[in-house]
Amino acid sequence: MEGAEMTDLAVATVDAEGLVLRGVAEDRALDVLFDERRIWSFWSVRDTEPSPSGAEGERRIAWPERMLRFLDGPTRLRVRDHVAGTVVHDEETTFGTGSERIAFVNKQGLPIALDKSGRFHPEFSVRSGDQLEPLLEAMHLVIAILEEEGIAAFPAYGTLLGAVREQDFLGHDSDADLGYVSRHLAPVDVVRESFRLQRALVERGMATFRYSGAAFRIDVEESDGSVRGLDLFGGFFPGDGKLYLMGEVGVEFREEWIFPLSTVTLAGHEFPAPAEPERLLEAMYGPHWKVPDPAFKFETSAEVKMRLDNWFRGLSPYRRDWQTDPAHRKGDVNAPASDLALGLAADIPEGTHVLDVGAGRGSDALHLARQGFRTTAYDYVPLTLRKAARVAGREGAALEVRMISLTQLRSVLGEGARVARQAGPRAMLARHVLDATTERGREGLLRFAAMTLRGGGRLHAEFATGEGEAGPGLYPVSLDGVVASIERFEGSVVSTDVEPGGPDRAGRAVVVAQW
Amino acid sequence: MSQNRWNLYATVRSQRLRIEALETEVAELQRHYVRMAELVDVVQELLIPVTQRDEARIAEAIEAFDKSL
Repeated sequence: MEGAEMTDLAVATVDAEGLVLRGVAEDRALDVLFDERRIWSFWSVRDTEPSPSGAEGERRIAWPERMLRFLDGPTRLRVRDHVAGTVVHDEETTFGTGSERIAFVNKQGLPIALDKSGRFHPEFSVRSGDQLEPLLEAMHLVIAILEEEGIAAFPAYGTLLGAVREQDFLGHDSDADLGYVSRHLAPVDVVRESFRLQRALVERGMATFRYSGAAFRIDVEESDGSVRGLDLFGGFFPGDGKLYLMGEVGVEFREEWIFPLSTVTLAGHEFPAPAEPERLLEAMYGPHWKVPDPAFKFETSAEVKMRLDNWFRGLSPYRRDWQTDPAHRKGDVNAPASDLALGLAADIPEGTHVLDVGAGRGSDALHLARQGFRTTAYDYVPLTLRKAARVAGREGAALEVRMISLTQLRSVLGEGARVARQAGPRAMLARHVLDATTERGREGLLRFAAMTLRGGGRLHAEFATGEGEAGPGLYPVSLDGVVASIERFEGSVVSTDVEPGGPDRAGRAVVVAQW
Repeated sequence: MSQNRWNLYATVRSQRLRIEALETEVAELQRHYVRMAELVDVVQELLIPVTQRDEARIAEAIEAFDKSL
């Protein structure tokens, strides 16, 4: 009966917009293959919407945004039931006007596919053992360092799932995850321990990026030069019979299901694992974790999410948007300086050290450095500033690039202390920072200003204000709120200037404050 | 009877509002954990060199601290 239903499932139409399925009777994981290679997977009900035709069992799904730029040329398009393996569609298809066969490859020419979070990555399944070896070695190394720190870490999430189910990486997964269960009972101690572990890894020369109070990424460079993230998630038993593991887990759990650790095999390597890894997999992926689901989405309960949010999150808001926004990655470092930067330059004496906070691509910072001001460009994703630093280096302009995370108190206090120890006058430029972060980040900026500008230094800030749209990644903030915050941090407002917006368009405020 | 039912509704309603208020307060408290951990970490990492009044070690500790974030 079930088999009959499945074969009825078919693709009704394929076009530049997406696919229309017919005969959809139940929710099935479907793989979409281009010339024999799986590029994308989705669920036939969960991820689709009823077809505009309204016909029963007809459902449509649009191509993922990121796929569109590849869709030009001929290909053999196949749609396959992921679990049953039945082919529901198989036809030579041509998109657009291109004559070359559609190829999903990245800049290095490596075949890529969409992972479950909808991003393109080289797949483990097309990666040779040689390419995987550095990642496996990095996992061993990180686990060994953590062990020296008294932490028993093990592969977690998709990596644990792959190890237990297939003794290998899951082809459709893209990063390796590690987890550990802390012996601490209070979130505050779990966070401090996570800080300590990050420090231990940095001391060993590893690059890291903190996601939250209990999770951070460790960057691993692979043999093909690509950098892959190894994510480390902390967990703990608060003493109420539940296990919380950063990311997605908050369930009734017994300590003996974790400790003492057992082992699993992953791509021929032996790794530590929870005592009963199946229990943890069920906590992570639900009771059907044994059935492959390349388009899996976590359905963490609102209650667990809220707890994890409150306990641990909020340290790097909007990070993904910021990193993936093409304007930040590709903006011109030689773009003309903003009015705000020109205004600041006219306001400060020679020899002033300029702190450009939230420098983005660094065009203002580069301009100021070229004017002869010693300039420090800050961003929480300093990768975006690399090009500006290179250009300044070539020209001999005094531009330094540093990382600051305004939402992390440690970062603000640490960098604030470092800068405050240096002699000489300072000024701060903050263009679209107050409106690109959270309340915690706004506080961070003003705390940083209060620490570094004490003794007459000025902050020049520009931000979107009022109602309406302000542009990608910008969230208008109230001018009164900013003024009140400045005063709370013991600054005094020198001037405010508001350019009103239009219908549905936010206005723009410029505030100069002095400490 | 209907008066009793009305009272019951009113009680449930007021209890629900009270629970919502308590949830908000709990969330506020929970959000202090990260802050507290950050503060303790800064103090722990930077206080010792500062109290030792060793200029070189203070500079080194601040630099190393920033790098570890």
